[in-house]
Amino acid sequence: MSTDLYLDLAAALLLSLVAVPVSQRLSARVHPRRASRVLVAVALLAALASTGALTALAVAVVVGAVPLVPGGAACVVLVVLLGRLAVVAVDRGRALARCAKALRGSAVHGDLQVLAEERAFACAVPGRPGRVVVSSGMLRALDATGRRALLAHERAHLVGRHHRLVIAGDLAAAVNPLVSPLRAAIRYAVERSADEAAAEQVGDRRAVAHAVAKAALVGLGASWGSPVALGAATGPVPRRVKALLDTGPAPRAGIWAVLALLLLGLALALVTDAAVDLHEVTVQASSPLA
Amino acid sequence: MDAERQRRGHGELEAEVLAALWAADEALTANQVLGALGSGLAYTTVVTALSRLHAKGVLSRVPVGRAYAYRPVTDEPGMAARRMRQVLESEVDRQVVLARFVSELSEHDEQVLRQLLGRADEH
Repeated sequence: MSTDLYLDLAAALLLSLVAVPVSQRLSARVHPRRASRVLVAVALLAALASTGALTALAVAVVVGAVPLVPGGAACVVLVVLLGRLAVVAVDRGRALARCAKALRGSAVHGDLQVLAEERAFACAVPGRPGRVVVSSGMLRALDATGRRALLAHERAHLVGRHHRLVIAGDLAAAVNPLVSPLRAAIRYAVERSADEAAAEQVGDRRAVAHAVAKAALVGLGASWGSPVALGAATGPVPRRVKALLDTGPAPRAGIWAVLALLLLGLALALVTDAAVDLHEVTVQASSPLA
Repeated sequence: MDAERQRRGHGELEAEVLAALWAADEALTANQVLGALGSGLAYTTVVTALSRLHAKGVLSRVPVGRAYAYRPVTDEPGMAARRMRQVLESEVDRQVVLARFVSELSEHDEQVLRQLLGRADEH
């Protein structure tokens, strides 16, 4: 029993390590809408598998089915990870509340809210109803097609409920730090997904590429928060612009799709396994004669 | 034109009209808005959108010749903008509202973007 529990945990961790590069490669080869879902599914299942295995082990230690050394470490790690989960959940909840509060009392026109502000910014604020918030400075910086692209992009975030995907990725990474690289991948995929939605609506990929680049460059003067490392590898915005300008055939997903499916199946099996282990451990504990 | 109108819903068109008026420096007539939207819309469609927005109290209008010129109504100047700016200045909050259309750029990114824009313009 004891070795089984350790093996399940090791399998979940190994799976997380392998699933990250596989899902990243797959996400670069499928439509960004699908990519965002695959990435979130992988992150959530990997998090469930590792947390499940860890919980089964920790409960086994508590009920005395597994010796305290080295099993006790599992309890400590589990507590720390659940603490991280709580912090991220509270953080995100507060952030949403602050956004809603900032906009309270100001008029909304349909789903668009324009704020009189020279600095260029635009964002999608989730809620009921969700709204697209744009500064007048941003609207001035773009031409008619650019404005259409911007509105379509932000609206796609709301319609696709991209906030949920991003937050799901953050929560998964909180309990399973091995899938942390997927957070940036999910963010990139939802931006690409919104870009594609805008391109579909405007009917001109080049114009949308132009608008994305323009919006990023005029937003530059705004410099929110801390600056990113200078001279680093090409960041997400140029990659998005390139993807919109690129009209070549999409690379084949083939082998990566098969691998990702296998890994998802394996993760599901591990989650089930952890649930069964947990059940067995608690049953053993409640009937000491067994 | 009809196809174009159908492709954009009421709300979407009104949002575009409102965005165009915010982008303009002065009050615009329906004809000027039509020009600012720069795509094959019917004059009557734009007039309808402007009237609806005016009826909702979103736009104010002044007579210009035989037509009206419209401008957006700004309520409680700057308050919401200032609060929203504070929200966007916080890293965590910025992530939640997906404020990445305006994203952080490195110097290298900026160069690449300017190159890409230049190349796009050549075509």
